[in-house]
Amino acid sequence: MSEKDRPQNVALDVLSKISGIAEGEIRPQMDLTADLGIDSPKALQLLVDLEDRLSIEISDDDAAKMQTVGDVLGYVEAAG
Amino acid sequence: MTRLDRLKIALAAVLVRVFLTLLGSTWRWRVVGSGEALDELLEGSPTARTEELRPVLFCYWHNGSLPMARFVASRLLARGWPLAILSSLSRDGELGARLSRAWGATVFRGSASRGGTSGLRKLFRHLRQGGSCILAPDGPRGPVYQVKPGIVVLSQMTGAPVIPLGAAADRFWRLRSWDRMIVPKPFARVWLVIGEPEAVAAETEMEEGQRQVAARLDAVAKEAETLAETLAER
Repeated sequence: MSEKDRPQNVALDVLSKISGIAEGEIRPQMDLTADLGIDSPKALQLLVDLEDRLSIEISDDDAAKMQTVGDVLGYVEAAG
Repeated sequence: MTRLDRLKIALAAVLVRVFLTLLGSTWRWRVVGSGEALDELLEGSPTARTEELRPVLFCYWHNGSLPMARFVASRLLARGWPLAILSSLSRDGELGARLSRAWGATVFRGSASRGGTSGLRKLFRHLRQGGSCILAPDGPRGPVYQVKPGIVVLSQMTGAPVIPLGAAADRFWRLRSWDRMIVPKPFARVWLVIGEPEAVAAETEMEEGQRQVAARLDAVAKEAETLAETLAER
Protein backbone atom coordinates (compact mmCIF):
# COMPACT_ATOMS: atom_id res chain seq x y z
CA MET A 1 0.00 0.00 0.00
CA SER A 2 1.47 3.35 -1.00
CA GLU A 3 1.53 6.26 1.43
CA LYS A 4 -1.30 8.09 -0.30
CA ASP A 5 -3.48 4.95 -0.22
CA ARG A 6 -3.29 4.65 3.53
CA PRO A 7 -6.79 5.00 4.98
CA GLN A 8 -5.95 8.13 6.97
CA ASN A 9 -4.45 9.85 3.93
CA VAL A 10 -7.44 8.89 1.80
CA ALA A 11 -9.73 10.32 4.49
CA LEU A 12 -7.71 13.54 4.62
CA ASP A 13 -7.92 13.83 0.83
CA VAL A 14 -11.70 13.35 0.98
CA LEU A 15 -12.08 15.86 3.82
CA SER A 16 -9.95 18.38 1.95
CA LYS A 17 -11.90 18.06 -1.29
CA ILE A 18 -15.26 18.35 0.44
CA SER A 19 -14.36 21.21 2.75
CA GLY A 20 -12.11 23.10 0.34
CA ILE A 21 -9.43 23.31 3.04
CA ALA A 22 -5.89 22.21 2.18
CA GLU A 23 -4.84 18.88 3.69
CA GLY A 24 -1.93 20.51 5.48
CA GLU A 25 -4.26 22.84 7.34
CA ILE A 26 -6.61 20.14 8.60
CA ARG A 27 -6.02 19.20 12.23
CA PRO A 28 -7.42 16.20 14.16
CA GLN A 29 -9.16 18.39 16.74
CA MET A 30 -11.12 20.31 14.12
CA ASP A 31 -14.89 19.98 14.30
CA LEU A 32 -16.40 18.69 11.07
CA THR A 33 -19.31 21.11 11.12
CA ALA A 34 -17.96 24.20 12.84
CA ASP A 35 -14.43 24.18 11.42
CA LEU A 36 -14.74 22.32 8.11
CA GLY A 37 -18.26 23.49 7.22
CA ILE A 38 -19.49 19.95 6.64
CA ASP A 39 -23.27 20.29 6.71
CA SER A 40 -25.84 17.55 5.98
CA PRO A 41 -25.29 17.40 2.19
CA LYS A 42 -21.52 17.39 2.60
CA ALA A 43 -21.79 14.75 5.34
CA LEU A 44 -23.57 12.50 2.86
CA GLN A 45 -20.83 13.09 0.29
CA LEU A 46 -18.13 12.49 2.91
CA LEU A 47 -19.54 9.14 3.99
CA VAL A 48 -20.21 7.96 0.43
CA ASP A 49 -16.70 8.92 -0.68
CA LEU A 50 -15.10 7.22 2.32
CA GLU A 51 -17.12 4.05 1.71
CA ASP A 52 -16.36 4.03 -2.01
CA ARG A 53 -12.67 4.78 -1.80
CA LEU A 54 -11.90 2.57 1.17
CA SER A 55 -14.37 -0.23 0.32
CA ILE A 56 -15.91 -0.09 3.77
CA GLU A 57 -19.46 0.22 5.08
CA ILE A 58 -20.07 2.79 7.80
CA SER A 59 -22.98 2.10 10.14
CA ASP A 60 -25.35 4.89 11.22
CA ASP A 61 -24.09 4.55 14.79
CA ASP A 62 -20.46 4.96 13.74
CA ALA A 63 -21.34 7.86 11.43
CA ALA A 64 -23.13 9.65 14.26
CA LYS A 65 -19.99 9.41 16.41
CA MET A 66 -17.86 11.27 13.87
CA GLN A 67 -17.75 14.80 15.20
CA THR A 68 -14.13 15.75 14.57
CA VAL A 69 -11.42 15.07 12.02
CA GLY A 70 -9.74 12.84 14.61
CA ASP A 71 -12.90 10.75 14.89
CA VAL A 72 -12.88 10.19 11.13
CA LEU A 73 -9.18 9.36 11.00
CA GLY A 74 -9.45 7.01 13.96
CA TYR A 75 -12.41 5.25 12.44
CA VAL A 76 -10.87 4.67 9.01
CA GLU A 77 -7.61 3.52 10.53
CA ALA A 78 -9.46 0.93 12.61
CA ALA A 79 -11.74 -0.07 9.72
CA GLY A 80 -8.91 -0.28 7.19
CA MET B 1 -37.56 -10.72 14.69
CA THR B 2 -38.56 -14.37 15.09
CA ARG B 3 -39.42 -16.78 12.30
CA LEU B 4 -43.09 -16.57 13.35
CA ASP B 5 -42.97 -12.77 13.11
CA ARG B 6 -41.56 -12.99 9.61
CA LEU B 7 -44.25 -15.47 8.63
CA LYS B 8 -46.96 -13.18 10.00
CA ILE B 9 -45.55 -10.21 8.10
CA ALA B 10 -45.28 -12.23 4.89
CA LEU B 11 -48.91 -13.27 5.24
CA ALA B 12 -49.99 -9.72 6.05
CA ALA B 13 -48.13 -8.46 2.97
CA VAL B 14 -50.03 -10.89 0.74
CA LEU B 15 -53.36 -9.91 2.29
CA VAL B 16 -52.68 -6.18 2.07
CA ARG B 17 -51.52 -6.57 -1.52
CA VAL B 18 -54.67 -8.46 -2.50
CA PHE B 19 -56.86 -5.99 -0.58
CA LEU B 20 -55.20 -2.96 -2.12
CA THR B 21 -55.26 -4.44 -5.61
CA LEU B 22 -58.96 -5.27 -5.34
CA LEU B 23 -59.93 -1.99 -3.70
CA GLY B 24 -57.65 0.05 -5.94
CA SER B 25 -59.05 -1.51 -9.09
CA THR B 26 -62.41 0.09 -8.27
CA TRP B 27 -60.99 3.60 -7.90
CA ARG B 28 -61.55 5.97 -10.76
CA TRP B 29 -58.40 8.00 -11.31
CA ARG B 30 -58.22 11.63 -12.30
CA VAL B 31 -54.61 12.62 -12.86
CA VAL B 32 -53.84 16.31 -13.07
CA GLY B 33 -50.55 17.93 -13.94
CA SER B 34 -48.98 20.12 -16.50
CA GLY B 35 -46.21 20.03 -19.04
CA GLU B 36 -43.16 17.93 -18.81
CA ALA B 37 -43.87 16.11 -15.56
CA LEU B 38 -47.21 14.82 -16.71
CA ASP B 39 -45.88 13.78 -20.10
CA GLU B 40 -42.95 11.97 -18.57
CA LEU B 41 -45.13 10.10 -16.15
CA LEU B 42 -48.01 9.09 -18.32
CA GLU B 43 -46.85 8.94 -21.91
CA GLY B 44 -44.62 6.64 -23.91
CA SER B 45 -43.37 3.14 -23.40
CA PRO B 46 -40.90 2.51 -20.61
CA THR B 47 -38.42 0.57 -22.69
CA ALA B 48 -38.20 3.32 -25.29
CA ARG B 49 -37.82 5.92 -22.60
CA THR B 50 -35.28 4.20 -20.40
CA GLU B 51 -32.33 6.02 -21.89
CA GLU B 52 -34.14 9.34 -21.69
CA LEU B 53 -35.08 8.97 -18.08
CA ARG B 54 -33.39 11.26 -15.64
CA PRO B 55 -33.33 10.68 -11.93
CA VAL B 56 -36.23 12.31 -10.14
CA LEU B 57 -37.36 12.42 -6.54
CA PHE B 58 -41.07 11.85 -6.18
CA CYS B 59 -42.53 12.76 -2.83
CA TYR B 60 -45.91 12.82 -1.11
CA TRP B 61 -47.29 13.32 2.37
CA HIS B 62 -47.35 10.02 4.26
CA ASN B 63 -51.11 10.04 4.82
CA GLY B 64 -51.60 9.58 1.06
CA SER B 65 -49.56 6.36 1.06
CA LEU B 66 -52.36 3.99 0.03
CA PRO B 67 -53.58 5.76 -3.13
CA MET B 68 -49.98 6.65 -3.88
CA ALA B 69 -48.90 3.00 -3.62
CA ARG B 70 -51.60 2.01 -6.06
CA PHE B 71 -50.68 4.81 -8.46
CA VAL B 72 -46.98 4.05 -8.29
CA ALA B 73 -47.51 0.31 -8.77
CA SER B 74 -49.92 0.60 -11.68
CA ARG B 75 -48.62 3.70 -13.47
CA LEU B 76 -44.91 3.88 -12.75
CA LEU B 77 -43.49 0.49 -11.74
CA ALA B 78 -45.69 -1.33 -14.24
CA ARG B 79 -44.22 0.90 -16.96
CA GLY B 80 -40.69 0.08 -15.97
CA TRP B 81 -39.67 3.14 -13.96
CA PRO B 82 -36.49 2.26 -12.01
CA LEU B 83 -37.94 3.43 -8.72
CA ALA B 84 -36.42 2.90 -5.30
CA ILE B 85 -38.06 3.36 -1.94
CA LEU B 86 -36.63 3.55 1.53
CA SER B 87 -38.30 1.38 4.10
CA SER B 88 -37.64 1.63 7.83
CA LEU B 89 -36.20 -1.28 9.80
CA SER B 90 -39.40 -1.61 11.84
CA ARG B 91 -42.12 -4.25 11.36
CA ASP B 92 -44.22 -1.73 9.44
CA GLY B 93 -41.18 -1.11 7.29
CA GLU B 94 -40.82 -4.84 6.64
CA LEU B 95 -44.42 -4.98 5.47
CA GLY B 96 -43.91 -1.99 3.19
CA ALA B 97 -40.69 -3.49 1.87
CA ARG B 98 -42.35 -6.78 0.95
CA LEU B 99 -45.23 -5.00 -0.79
CA SER B 100 -42.92 -2.71 -2.71
CA ARG B 101 -40.65 -5.53 -3.84
CA ALA B 102 -43.68 -7.48 -5.06
CA TRP B 103 -44.67 -4.48 -7.17
CA GLY B 104 -41.19 -4.25 -8.67
CA ALA B 105 -39.59 -1.45 -6.68
CA THR B 106 -36.01 -1.48 -5.50
CA VAL B 107 -36.16 -1.42 -1.72
CA PHE B 108 -33.50 -0.05 0.59
CA ARG B 109 -33.84 -0.45 4.34
CA GLY B 110 -32.94 2.35 6.70
CA SER B 111 -33.73 5.95 7.50
CA ALA B 112 -33.47 9.22 5.58
CA SER B 113 -34.28 11.46 8.49
CA ARG B 114 -30.74 12.79 8.92
CA GLY B 115 -28.02 13.73 6.49
CA GLY B 116 -25.66 10.88 5.71
CA THR B 117 -27.62 7.96 7.13
CA SER B 118 -27.01 4.60 5.49
CA GLY B 119 -30.47 4.68 3.91
CA LEU B 120 -29.76 8.04 2.39
CA ARG B 121 -26.42 6.85 1.08
CA LYS B 122 -28.13 3.95 -0.71
CA LEU B 123 -30.66 6.30 -2.31
CA PHE B 124 -27.87 8.68 -3.27
CA ARG B 125 -26.03 5.92 -5.12
CA HIS B 126 -29.26 4.80 -6.79
CA LEU B 127 -29.91 8.34 -8.05
CA ARG B 128 -26.32 8.72 -9.17
CA GLN B 129 -26.73 5.60 -11.31
CA GLY B 130 -29.79 7.06 -13.02
CA GLY B 131 -32.54 5.55 -10.89
CA SER B 132 -35.38 7.52 -9.32
CA CYS B 133 -36.79 7.47 -5.81
CA ILE B 134 -40.10 8.04 -4.11
CA LEU B 135 -40.26 9.24 -0.52
CA ALA B 136 -42.75 10.40 2.07
CA PRO B 137 -40.62 13.11 3.71
CA ASP B 138 -42.75 13.19 6.89
CA GLY B 139 -42.50 9.41 7.34
CA PRO B 140 -42.12 6.91 8.73
CA ARG B 141 -43.35 8.28 12.08
CA GLY B 142 -43.96 11.98 11.65
CA PRO B 143 -44.48 14.63 12.80
CA VAL B 144 -47.10 14.91 10.11
CA TYR B 145 -46.44 17.44 7.32
CA GLN B 146 -42.88 18.11 8.48
CA VAL B 147 -40.22 17.52 5.84
CA LYS B 148 -37.08 15.85 7.16
CA PRO B 149 -33.70 16.75 5.70
CA GLY B 150 -33.20 13.61 3.58
CA ILE B 151 -35.02 14.68 0.44
CA VAL B 152 -33.40 18.12 0.49
CA VAL B 153 -29.94 16.59 0.81
CA LEU B 154 -30.56 14.14 -2.02
CA SER B 155 -31.83 16.83 -4.37
CA GLN B 156 -28.98 19.17 -3.55
CA MET B 157 -26.29 16.54 -3.94
CA THR B 158 -27.57 14.94 -7.15
CA GLY B 159 -29.45 17.82 -8.79
CA ALA B 160 -32.44 15.49 -9.12
CA PRO B 161 -35.67 17.47 -9.37
CA VAL B 162 -38.31 17.00 -6.69
CA ILE B 163 -41.76 16.16 -8.08
CA PRO B 164 -44.46 16.55 -5.42
CA LEU B 165 -47.51 14.31 -5.68
CA GLY B 166 -50.81 15.01 -3.95
CA ALA B 167 -53.71 12.58 -3.63
CA ALA B 168 -57.29 12.99 -2.42
CA ALA B 169 -60.57 11.13 -2.85
CA ASP B 170 -64.19 12.22 -2.93
CA ARG B 171 -65.12 9.43 -0.50
CA PHE B 172 -62.69 7.95 1.96
CA TRP B 173 -62.08 6.55 5.42
CA ARG B 174 -59.56 8.24 7.66
CA LEU B 175 -57.51 5.97 9.92
CA ARG B 176 -56.55 6.86 13.50
CA SER B 177 -52.87 6.59 12.70
CA TRP B 178 -50.29 9.31 13.51
CA ASP B 179 -50.73 10.75 10.02
CA ARG B 180 -54.52 10.27 9.78
CA MET B 181 -54.02 8.15 6.65
CA ILE B 182 -56.78 8.17 4.06
CA VAL B 183 -58.28 5.04 2.51
CA PRO B 184 -60.42 5.86 -0.53
CA LYS B 185 -63.69 3.93 -0.44
CA PRO B 186 -64.65 1.46 -3.17
CA PHE B 187 -65.45 3.23 -6.46
CA ALA B 188 -64.22 6.57 -5.11
CA ARG B 189 -62.86 9.13 -7.52
CA VAL B 190 -59.21 9.61 -6.65
CA TRP B 191 -57.45 12.78 -7.72
CA LEU B 192 -53.74 12.75 -8.16
CA VAL B 193 -52.00 16.08 -8.70
CA ILE B 194 -48.48 16.05 -10.11
CA GLY B 195 -46.39 19.13 -9.36
CA GLU B 196 -43.66 20.56 -11.54
CA PRO B 197 -40.14 19.10 -11.25
CA GLU B 198 -37.76 21.44 -9.45
CA ALA B 199 -34.48 20.69 -7.70
CA VAL B 200 -33.52 22.26 -4.39
CA ALA B 201 -30.66 24.63 -5.19
CA ALA B 202 -27.31 23.53 -3.75
CA GLU B 203 -26.81 26.83 -1.89
CA THR B 204 -30.22 26.71 -0.17
CA GLU B 205 -30.05 26.48 3.63
CA MET B 206 -31.47 23.25 5.03
CA GLU B 207 -34.45 24.79 6.82
CA GLU B 208 -35.35 26.83 3.77
CA GLY B 209 -35.08 23.73 1.58
CA GLN B 210 -37.37 21.83 3.93
CA ARG B 211 -39.81 24.74 3.88
CA GLN B 212 -39.80 24.85 0.07
CA VAL B 213 -40.50 21.13 -0.30
CA ALA B 214 -43.25 21.30 2.34
CA ALA B 215 -44.90 24.25 0.59
CA ARG B 216 -44.87 22.43 -2.75
CA LEU B 217 -46.31 19.29 -1.14
CA ASP B 218 -48.99 21.36 0.59
CA ALA B 219 -49.90 22.99 -2.72
CA VAL B 220 -50.49 19.75 -4.64
CA ALA B 221 -52.26 18.13 -1.65
CA LYS B 222 -54.55 21.16 -1.34
CA GLU B 223 -55.26 21.16 -5.07
CA ALA B 224 -56.15 17.46 -4.96
CA GLU B 225 -58.45 18.02 -1.96
CA THR B 226 -60.15 20.97 -3.61
CA LEU B 227 -60.78 18.98 -6.78
CA ALA B 228 -62.14 16.04 -4.80
CA GLU B 229 -64.43 18.27 -2.69
CA THR B 230 -65.67 20.21 -5.70
CA LEU B 231 -66.53 17.01 -7.45
CA ALA B 232 -68.24 15.54 -4.39
CA GLU B 233 -70.54 18.57 -4.17
CA ARG B 234 -71.83 18.02 -7.71
